Amino acid sequence: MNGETHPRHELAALVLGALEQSEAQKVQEHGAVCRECRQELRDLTSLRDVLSTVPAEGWPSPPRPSDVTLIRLLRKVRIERHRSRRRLVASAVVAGAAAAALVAVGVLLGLRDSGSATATHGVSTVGQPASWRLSGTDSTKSMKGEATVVARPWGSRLNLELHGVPTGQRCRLIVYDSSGEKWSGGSWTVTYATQFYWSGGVAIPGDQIARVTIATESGHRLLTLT
Amino acid sequence: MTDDEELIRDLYELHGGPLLGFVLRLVNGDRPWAEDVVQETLLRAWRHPDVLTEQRGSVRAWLFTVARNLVVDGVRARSARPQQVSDAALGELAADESVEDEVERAALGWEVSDALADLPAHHRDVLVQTYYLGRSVHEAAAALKVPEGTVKSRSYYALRQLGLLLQERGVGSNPSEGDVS
Repeated sequence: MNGETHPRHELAALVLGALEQSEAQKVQEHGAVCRECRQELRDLTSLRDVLSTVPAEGWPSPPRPSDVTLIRLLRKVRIERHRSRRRLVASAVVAGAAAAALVAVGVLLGLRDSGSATATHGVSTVGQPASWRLSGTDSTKSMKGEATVVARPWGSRLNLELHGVPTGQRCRLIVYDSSGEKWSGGSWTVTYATQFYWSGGVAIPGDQIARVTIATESGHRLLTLT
Repeated sequence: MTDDEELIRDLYELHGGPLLGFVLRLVNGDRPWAEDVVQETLLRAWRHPDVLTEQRGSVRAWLFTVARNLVVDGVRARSARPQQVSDAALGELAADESVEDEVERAALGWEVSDALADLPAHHRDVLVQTYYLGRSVHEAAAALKVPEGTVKSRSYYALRQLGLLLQERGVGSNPSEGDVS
């Protein structure tokens, strides 16, 4: 065992079926007299059970369609868009609305943006979307954060980097536009104490974002980025 | 890049992989066919963006349902040429299970798969080695070239972090009846 009072690591290996028989027996004997470990085991077992829902093609990660599929898709979209001028106008309107909705969904998920956001301040560089940077530190200087806002057709993507926010803290992102209106940017749980990254989006243009607040679920303000 | 292209790229990035995995199973691993179905499904989503206003789970369920229907249509069309459709593919589609249940189950599995992909590689590797490949701590440690204690601790943190990622995605894991005995 790992020397801890509660052999949590061994319990995880046990539920994954990876522990040698002799060690598994020791862990089970401990569990028989330890209420906390029994609860831990129940939690870990339920997480293990979730793994069984993944189809064989789904681990270690989902397959990726070929780039050819994307190229064909883009070509079909261009062809359809140009086929009818009326369709072009209509699709531009609805696609914009749908993309905003799609991002609203993305916000719930805290999607990571694999692209690199530029750190320019509201200035478009050639071939790259405009981006803005906001930053802030709390009064005790124990937490700090930085947000890069990248212009997207549906609004803005926010790439957030936080330092010092306690692990396990449930956070909410609130975006204030230049008129003072509040926009919800979704919520997430901090999984790393030292440094935490999160990406989401809001359906307002980047140049209209005045400040971003990170608050607890109960509304206590942790950080304001300006 | 135009708004249309941006939307297609977002759809492709967000749903392309799980969709391909779902369809591959239906078409018994016929990759060209599966890629065609994925392409057509995403194209239909682009043509009907109103469906994208739903929450992610519903969007994916919609995509899976469209893809499944495309495969069914394809199976029917190809059944005139039976050599092009495997018995397995037909069996899968004819399974005694409601489409809704099938899609819901698949959507959950691919959501978990997505979450696995979001885990740090060293955590994901341990779950793959132990749970999916069925290796012991000793064997996993040798394969990953890390001490056995590291395999155990990573197993714990990998499961816990997976739980958090699933929580963020609105996927809960039911408390298990399992106990130490």
